[in-house]
Amino acid sequence: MNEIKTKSIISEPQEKQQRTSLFLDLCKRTVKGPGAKIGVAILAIMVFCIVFANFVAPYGENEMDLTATFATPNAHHLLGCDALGRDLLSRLLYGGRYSLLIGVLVTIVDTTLGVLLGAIAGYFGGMTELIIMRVMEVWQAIPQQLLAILIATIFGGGFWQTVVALSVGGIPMKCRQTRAQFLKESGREYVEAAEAINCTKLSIMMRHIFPNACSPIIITIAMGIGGAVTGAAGLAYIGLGVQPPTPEWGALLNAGRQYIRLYPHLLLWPGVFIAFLVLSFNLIGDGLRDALDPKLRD
Amino acid sequence: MFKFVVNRLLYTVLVLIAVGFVIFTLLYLSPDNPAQFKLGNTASASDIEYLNHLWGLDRPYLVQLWDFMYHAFIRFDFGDSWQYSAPIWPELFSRIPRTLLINLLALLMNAPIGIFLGIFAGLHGGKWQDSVVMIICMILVSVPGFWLALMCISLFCVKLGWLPVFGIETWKGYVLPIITGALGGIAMNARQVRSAILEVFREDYITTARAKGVPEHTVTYSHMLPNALMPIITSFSGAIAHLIGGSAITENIFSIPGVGSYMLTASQTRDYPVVRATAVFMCAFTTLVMLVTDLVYGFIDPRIKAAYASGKRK
Repeated sequence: MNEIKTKSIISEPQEKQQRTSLFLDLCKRTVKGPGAKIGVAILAIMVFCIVFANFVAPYGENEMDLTATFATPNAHHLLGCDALGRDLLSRLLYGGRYSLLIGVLVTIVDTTLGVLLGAIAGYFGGMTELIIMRVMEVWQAIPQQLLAILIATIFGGGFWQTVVALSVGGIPMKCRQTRAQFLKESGREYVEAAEAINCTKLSIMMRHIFPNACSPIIITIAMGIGGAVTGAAGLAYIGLGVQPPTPEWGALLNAGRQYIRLYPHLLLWPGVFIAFLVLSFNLIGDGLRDALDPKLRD
Repeated sequence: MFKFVVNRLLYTVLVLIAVGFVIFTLLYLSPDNPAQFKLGNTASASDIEYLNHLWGLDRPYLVQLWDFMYHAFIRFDFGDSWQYSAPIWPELFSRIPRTLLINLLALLMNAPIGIFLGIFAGLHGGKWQDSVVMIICMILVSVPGFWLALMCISLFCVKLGWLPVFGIETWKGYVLPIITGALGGIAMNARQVRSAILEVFREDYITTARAKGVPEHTVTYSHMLPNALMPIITSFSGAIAHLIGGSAITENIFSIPGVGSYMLTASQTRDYPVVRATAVFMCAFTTLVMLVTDLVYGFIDPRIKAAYASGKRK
């Protein structure tokens, strides 16, 4: 009875404390510099406004005011209105949902697949590695944006098509990165120990090696979301991504392109929003890089 | 070294053939019906069948694949455009110089300027010069390149009227595409060079050099820079992939009749032979630049040289 009590008191809380402190420690070290602080602040504000667009946005997503067509920024419409008198700020906030969601989904898909393939190649080695890496090299010879355009050509434009088109191009980089990390780690003693106590291969890869190998991948994830948002906007701009009237940021640019001579504000603000979102992810990525760099520790 | 070059050349050819296979297969998987697309919704079934037969689409996959690979890689013939029923090669050939000019000039611009900025920031590490350069680079890396191009058109072409809005009748038409193409690469290179220099700062051989009493500028220029600049050579291949991949968007924005815009119009009209030809060309160009950077790297990096030299002896 006594023994059980001491066990539960001593072992459990300690484990928990250590886990939270590792994560908190990383967060703390990440936001140490001024850049990452600004990044987190921008991202927090933008995500809040985008997620709660129903409450924050002054007008509805498709609310038209035909007396205010092409209004330049004024007191009623802070960023002006488009050709149908729809408030640009409101459309940007609602559209941010699509842009941000594409960024997150693309990153989830290509990281999952890339890490999985890279882990298999790095851990198993031999023929498996050779085949996977040769496929990745061919895959990488097709520039990412070109591949996205090709896939968008085949499957047409749209939200899910954009997600697929962009994630496919990101897999090789993540795969190569993960493989390099796994190669470095798989010779270590703890892997040998895990093999000795008969852990399954999957558990060795995902529970033992991955946590030690994931720091560069965390940085690419942070930067990748921003890259995917830009990529989606580029595709939408040339008409192969999300189609107007969906207010995805690139689609807004696409809708505004014909008014570049007369109403450049329709093109200005979507880009500013994209730039700020990408900037925030890049700043956080830089902060993470410094925080995870073993040379800069202490 | 000869073995290294031959190795890389063979490898490049194999990659290109595989890329051709991937591109063909991707487009083969398309659920669209190009004949229907060309003839419109009112086309009769027999007309569609006729076009499919004319274009060879009624043949089995492997036959079509072989036909494409044989013509593209052995006879360098990409066939006829479906939309215009004219051979692709002359049209593609007339567009290649424009795309190459823009991308190569942008590539050549971003290396020296980026390296200079990176060295400047790295050597002033932690001071205000460093912060200014790095903040500018951070912004340039984050801003979408094609949007920057749009804003430059709006400012320099529409408002100020210094440059033509579109077209390439004079050299002025090339100014903005090249500059906006190079800006992102400049920022990327500057960031990379800076962090490489900061890394080299901590190396032991720098301390050794200083301890020997080597003058500070010699330490900087002959000990630090050569080592810090090595990674920049490899960054060329990433930069060219980015530029070439983005050329469809760039050429669309500036209305430049190049390879990228050719591909884009073809993809909108489901003109697959043209899409295939342009895609293969872009990949070939990217792969060739990668090959050149690999070779340059191999000639410069003593480690790769040594690896091949010792391989010969065995």
